[in-house]
Amino acid sequence: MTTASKESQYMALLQQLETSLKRGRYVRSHELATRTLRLAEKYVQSDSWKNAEEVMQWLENTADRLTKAAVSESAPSNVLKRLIKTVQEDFMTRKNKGKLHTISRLDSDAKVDYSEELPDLRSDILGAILDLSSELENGAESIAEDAEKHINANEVIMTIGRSRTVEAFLKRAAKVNKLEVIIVKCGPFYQGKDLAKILSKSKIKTTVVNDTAAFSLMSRVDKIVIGTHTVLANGGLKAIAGCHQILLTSKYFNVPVLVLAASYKLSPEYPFSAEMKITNRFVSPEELIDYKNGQMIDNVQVYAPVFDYVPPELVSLFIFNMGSHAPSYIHRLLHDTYTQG
Amino acid sequence: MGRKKHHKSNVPQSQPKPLPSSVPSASVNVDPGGPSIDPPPQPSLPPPPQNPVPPVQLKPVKMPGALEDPILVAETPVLAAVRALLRVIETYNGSTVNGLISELKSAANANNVVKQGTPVLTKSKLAVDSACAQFIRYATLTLSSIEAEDVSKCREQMMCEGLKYLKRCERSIEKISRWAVTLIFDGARILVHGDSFVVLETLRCVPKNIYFSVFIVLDNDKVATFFEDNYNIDVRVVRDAEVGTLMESMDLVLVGAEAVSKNGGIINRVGTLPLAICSREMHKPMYVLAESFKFSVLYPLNQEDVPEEIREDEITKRIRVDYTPPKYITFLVTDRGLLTPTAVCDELIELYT
Repeated sequence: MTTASKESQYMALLQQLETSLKRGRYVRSHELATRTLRLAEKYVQSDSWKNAEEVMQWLENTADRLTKAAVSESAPSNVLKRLIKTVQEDFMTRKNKGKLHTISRLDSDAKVDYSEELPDLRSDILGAILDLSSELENGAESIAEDAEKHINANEVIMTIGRSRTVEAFLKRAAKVNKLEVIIVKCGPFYQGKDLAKILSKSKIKTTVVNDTAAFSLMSRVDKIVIGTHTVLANGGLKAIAGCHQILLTSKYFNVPVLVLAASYKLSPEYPFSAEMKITNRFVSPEELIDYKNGQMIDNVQVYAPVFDYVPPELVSLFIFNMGSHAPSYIHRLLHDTYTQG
Repeated sequence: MGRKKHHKSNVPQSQPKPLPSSVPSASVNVDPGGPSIDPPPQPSLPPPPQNPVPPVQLKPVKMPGALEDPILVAETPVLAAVRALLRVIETYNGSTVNGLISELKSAANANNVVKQGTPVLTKSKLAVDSACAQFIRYATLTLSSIEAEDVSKCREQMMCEGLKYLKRCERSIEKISRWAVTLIFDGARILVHGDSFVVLETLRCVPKNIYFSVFIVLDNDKVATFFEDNYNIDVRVVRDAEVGTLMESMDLVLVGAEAVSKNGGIINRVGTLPLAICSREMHKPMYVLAESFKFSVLYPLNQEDVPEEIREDEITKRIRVDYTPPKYITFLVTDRGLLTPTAVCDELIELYT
């Protein structure tokens, strides 16, 4: 393939991604992450860059661009920011080949010249992207591997809404132990019902309840296992609307809360800073009030937010595909995954 | 019994220090170490000023070469102490590295001798201690990789590392304000405890298009002129007792620290603890702005564990500082970034390995 066509390939991909984000054709974070990674791969394969600095600059600019296109989606920018750190590390390893060198964080003031051209850098970065993409593919499975450790026999597990990671997790656990699942439907979209159908096909005893019933049932629940949209830098969650109140209930009854999240959901943003507010998404409130009641809603405003903020105190354990950690440990993961701001 | 006569150093201590060219000058005179039979040199300390303490001087510093824009470097006691230690290295003419290290340690200890200290010096005592300890740690960290016959190479290396540390310390307030500014939003009502220089300086650096009001808990009106140039800041001085009534309408609480303990708690001006408990009760975030040289190895388990010479004011015997446990602190804003209290331990491990 010629250089020009390679370049036009990744430009076209970028346009596609940006447009689908802007148009609100929101797809799952997993798909967004995979598409972004493929885009980055195309860019690295092309000849549009000469040194590590240009790669990192492109990654940063694209991350900004994609965030602007859809402010509430963090998966694309998380993946790209992670790549920035990988590129830095690959560069340092290549440069200091043979020499013992540890990048002390204190020397981050020392300006490293990333514009040095290294011949094998391209293959290094492509290798790293390959690793990352296989990590993305096997995310749900590697999280589910831990299922037997965390769920014991005859336990009553509660989950909220529908998460594919939780689905894989519970199916895996059910292979080993008998368990019972209570699914909170989670209005106004009631995706919990779909999960109930799937789980019952796997012969897992399932109960579906409304959000309002969570308190009355909570005393019978042994554990709560939920997925999330994003894990924030302070250990808090941006999860589906309705999570916060149910987790408050679980705190009241001292029910442990396990949050399953793949690594691309970990975001380096802190909540409640002046620049980054918890960006919520508002979708059509058709589920709440029918359009045919149009006359009534003349003077009524109807909102349907998609996300909720959950503070870190309400979470007991995070299960990422690279291991399980307490919320207070998130800063360490951030340090390992992203460069310091 | 009259006031003790301190012999004056020949460098006036309340004027801005001259610009560092290659070696930072120090306000402390240190006699170069002679043969080992002499007693270790006693650095002479500046006498406590008779007049009220002048506000900390700020001036733009153009560091040779490295930076494009001048950064504001505050002349704080910690920077003076670090410069003094650099001077010790520079003027050492003994023949062993161990001798140099022990001289550095005794110079650091001499900083402890703050007889009848002024409020500024006492406030910084813990910070000076931990900064000196960190300095010695960094200076000697990479020495094992040097194989040299004479001590001058080691001295150069220590000097180099020491200068790097000094530069980090000088830039720390700038870095902190960069982080902390993101926490302040338009229309915020901020409760500030005490007159921590870091906090006040950060508030001054908030962009002028963000309007916010600051309620400072102080028992005097010293800060009245500090925010003169900032028309976007509304300042009100309040008393300790008013904190309870004000807390419900506040958005966030900002404090500095005299020292950060190993578990992420802080030692700060007395009154911080009740403020912290109040803010936790009313679900207001509490942010601590502290440079990383304040990370110390103290680990108080309760208020009694804070060393008495720190806890109590020497003259009036009133309690001067209290210890706030980490559970009341939302974030520590340091030059290493936004840290949760649990991350302080990690940072300390990194600092000391």
